[in-house]
Amino acid sequence: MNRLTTSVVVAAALAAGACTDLSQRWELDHARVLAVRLSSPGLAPGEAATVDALVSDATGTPALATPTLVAEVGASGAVAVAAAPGGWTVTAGDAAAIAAARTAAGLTADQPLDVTLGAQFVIDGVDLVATKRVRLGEAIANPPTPTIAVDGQVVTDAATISGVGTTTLTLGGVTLDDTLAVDWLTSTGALTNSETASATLELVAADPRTGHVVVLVKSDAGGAAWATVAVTAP
Amino acid sequence: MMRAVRTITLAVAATALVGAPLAGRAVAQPAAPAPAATVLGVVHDRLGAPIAGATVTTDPGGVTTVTDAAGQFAIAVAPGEMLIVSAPSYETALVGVEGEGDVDVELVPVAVVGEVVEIVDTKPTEVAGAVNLTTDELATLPGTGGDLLASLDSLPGVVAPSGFGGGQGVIIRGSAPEDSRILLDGFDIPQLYHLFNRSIIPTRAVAGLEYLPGGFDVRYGRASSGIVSVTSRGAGDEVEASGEVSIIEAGVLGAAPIGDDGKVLVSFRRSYVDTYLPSVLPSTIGLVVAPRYYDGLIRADWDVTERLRGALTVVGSDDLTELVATDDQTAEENTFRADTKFIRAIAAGYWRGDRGVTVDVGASVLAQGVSFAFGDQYLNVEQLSLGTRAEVSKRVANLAGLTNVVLRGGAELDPRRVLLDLRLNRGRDEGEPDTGMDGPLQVFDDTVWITDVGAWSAIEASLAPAIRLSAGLRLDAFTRNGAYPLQPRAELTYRADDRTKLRLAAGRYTRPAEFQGELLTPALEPESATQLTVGAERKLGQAGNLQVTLYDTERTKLITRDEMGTNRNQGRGRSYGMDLLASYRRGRWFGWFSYSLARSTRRDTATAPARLFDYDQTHDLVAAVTYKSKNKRWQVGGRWSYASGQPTTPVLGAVYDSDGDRFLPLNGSVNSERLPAHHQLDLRVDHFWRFPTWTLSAFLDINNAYLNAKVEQYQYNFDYTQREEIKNLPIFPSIGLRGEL
Repeated sequence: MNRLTTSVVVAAALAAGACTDLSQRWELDHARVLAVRLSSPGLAPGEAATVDALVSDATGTPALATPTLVAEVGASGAVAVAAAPGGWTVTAGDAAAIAAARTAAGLTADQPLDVTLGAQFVIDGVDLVATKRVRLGEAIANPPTPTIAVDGQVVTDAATISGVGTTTLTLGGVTLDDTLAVDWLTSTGALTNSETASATLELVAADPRTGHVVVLVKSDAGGAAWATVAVTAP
Repeated sequence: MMRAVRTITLAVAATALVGAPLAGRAVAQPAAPAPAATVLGVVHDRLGAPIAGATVTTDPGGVTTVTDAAGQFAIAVAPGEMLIVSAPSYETALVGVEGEGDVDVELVPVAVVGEVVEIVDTKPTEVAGAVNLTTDELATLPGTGGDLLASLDSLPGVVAPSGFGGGQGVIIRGSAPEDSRILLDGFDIPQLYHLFNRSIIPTRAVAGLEYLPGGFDVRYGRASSGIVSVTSRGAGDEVEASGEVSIIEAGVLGAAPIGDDGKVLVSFRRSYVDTYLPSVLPSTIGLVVAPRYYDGLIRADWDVTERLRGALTVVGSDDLTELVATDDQTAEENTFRADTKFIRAIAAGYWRGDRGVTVDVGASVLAQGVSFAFGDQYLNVEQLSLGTRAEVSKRVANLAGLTNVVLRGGAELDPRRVLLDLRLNRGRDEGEPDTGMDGPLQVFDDTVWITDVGAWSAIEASLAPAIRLSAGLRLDAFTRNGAYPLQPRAELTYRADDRTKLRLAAGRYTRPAEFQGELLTPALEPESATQLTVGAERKLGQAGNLQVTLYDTERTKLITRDEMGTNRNQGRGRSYGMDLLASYRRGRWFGWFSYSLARSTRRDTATAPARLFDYDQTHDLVAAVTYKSKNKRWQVGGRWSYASGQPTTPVLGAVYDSDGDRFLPLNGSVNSERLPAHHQLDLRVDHFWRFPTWTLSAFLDINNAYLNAKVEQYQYNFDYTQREEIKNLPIFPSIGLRGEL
């Protein structure tokens, strides 16, 4: 090995020395899918779940959305996807169909069978595609719906924050462990520690006086839950 | 009419070790039974001043004459004979005589013989028609910061390196860096540049730079594109010392004769950006790259006998790059460290025997270490190499109807032991989208043994007074891969008149599968290339020179990765284009113009569509001019360059993986877009203060004077909906002082 992976070195050097104007992961400033949710991320044989999602538009406003299309990625034969009034339904096959799909995938009888779904959304006229995993053969619940505390006060729909300066955002209603991940997002100000139970929102004079704060909780098993709050600064 | 001349400065050739053209000083050989013709000539110095009293001797005839006050001479020369021209204070020159006309001989002063730089295009063993530039001219080329080897990217066919350089090889004629070799005194060195494109060898320690972009001789193997051969400088007969400081580095060099037969040169240099950069930057930046490098070179020469000369060169370099935090938080969150170091020792012997026989031998040891860490990923490499090579040549006046014949044969052996310990993402290969540090992990901890053996044989001869042929055969044995490629190569030179020469070269070239991740796959075959080169050289007036070269290279068995990430010899490629180099040197003016028009494509499998190569560069233009004041106290210069942007693969969109909370990019066609073209102006001013015993000089070198920062790559945001340009430094000034005894 005569030379080091120079591209890595140069990329790191450039990244270290560069200041970027690109959107950060926690910034709600353009249309995007924030999370896709199944009413039950794990399905027992014959069980069904509905599909919805949390999305945000160009203004950073979060909203519940229904996909325009859902389809299985691949053809396991172990699930059926169908349009239903008000959304899409995913139904697990019977035990024999799941067993056959498991065998075809080279899995043993005690291993989980994961099937990937593709979901399409149209937000602000833009087509966005997301994938979602459904685990077949066992029932799995979503994490509990979290709560948001603003400077120590639990709020539900809207909150007034202190204006220019920092505001502490704290996750409630969920006990975090190694199987759960948290993400804070905002359409105003800047976030630090956005992947921890307690994040800090900092506003400067140039930031909008109103916006939204979102917290997402996702589990290793495919569960998702969220909470949103509209914030206003004096 | 001037007669065609070949001049080889013996000292330069001798210091070039076995990897450089041989300059046999033939003695006492039976004269050819052919009638002699009277040759008229003139001997002068580099400025054109005639040298009176120079001795001109035919070889092997032994007939001698002396130049008159005008530097002129007349001497009877038999067919196949050469001339040995010598004068006090000048290096002896060996001059080939072909065709009709007068002979023009330029002698180089002993004190500066090490400063002659030969830039040789597509020619294996002779220097006729080559562009000869002094180190002063190249080292003061604007934008190089006084670094001679940094001027390499001003040559046609060389793609300017991206990023801040360092560690990369040289990108020649639409090839990858690993397709070309960088040699120091005939042996590979792992890198030519530190960070900021500062070369690892100080300008004052360089005797010669030989640039062979293609069509090179069979004595060079294990490269499918080009050769960059650097020759270290031996000390002269006088004690010399110099020191240089700039905002980046400081260095010293000393040289002196030892006894009657020995000479030694020592240089050492260290950068110190790392010592002050963190303290001068505001803490809001968080992290900065703080590079630190140092290098050193020791060269000893001694004349064992009149015919045997020995040289020992030791060169070492150490580069450390790490992120330095300007606040405590980022220091804890980030880990990045890259340390590359090597030391190479080369022992060489040059023997010039009777009857036109020469023997050049060399042996070398290389110890190299690479240490890289980024987060929880790492790479540690320790390499130990023991290389030897030897070449024997014999010059005869006539052989089987051919005249002025040189027969050569040689062999080399390069066994290596590489200790590899890595846990590193697979990284991006040529033509693949960038995965950053998120690609699949490779884990390897083992020892790799490599033994490469090569042997070659060649003949050079004049088929007619104006036509010379060089043909050779090379056999390599890449034992780790079980590959034994046979590589025929030939070059035909036609001297149309005393100012014009045409060349045609063709040959087969291979590169063993020994680059980085290729070491993890022993079953790979070497990559192959078939090169075809057509070139023309013409002297323009008394001060100009023009070279034009057309080339076409077909590449096969290129190593690419299949869908499973396994390396396979399934790629093909083609590179073709034109290189043009013009230079003008008259009085106090020196001008330089190079232009390359090129296209390089690849097919990742036999049936895949052709796409642009990562380093394809359609246009590359460099124009430079320098002017020395009449009193020689000032020198000013400028260099303007223009280059097409590097191909890149656009990202058209992304799919959001809701469970993994990541976005998977949807890539467009490979290399279907280009980064913006780049142009910049570099300026340089030198001022000299000359004292009775020493000289002090100061320089200001401004790289990118009109602040047109080069776009190095595109960077996307987390969901690939936005991208921005990552640019290099908008301006890079270099200020320095140099003192010389």
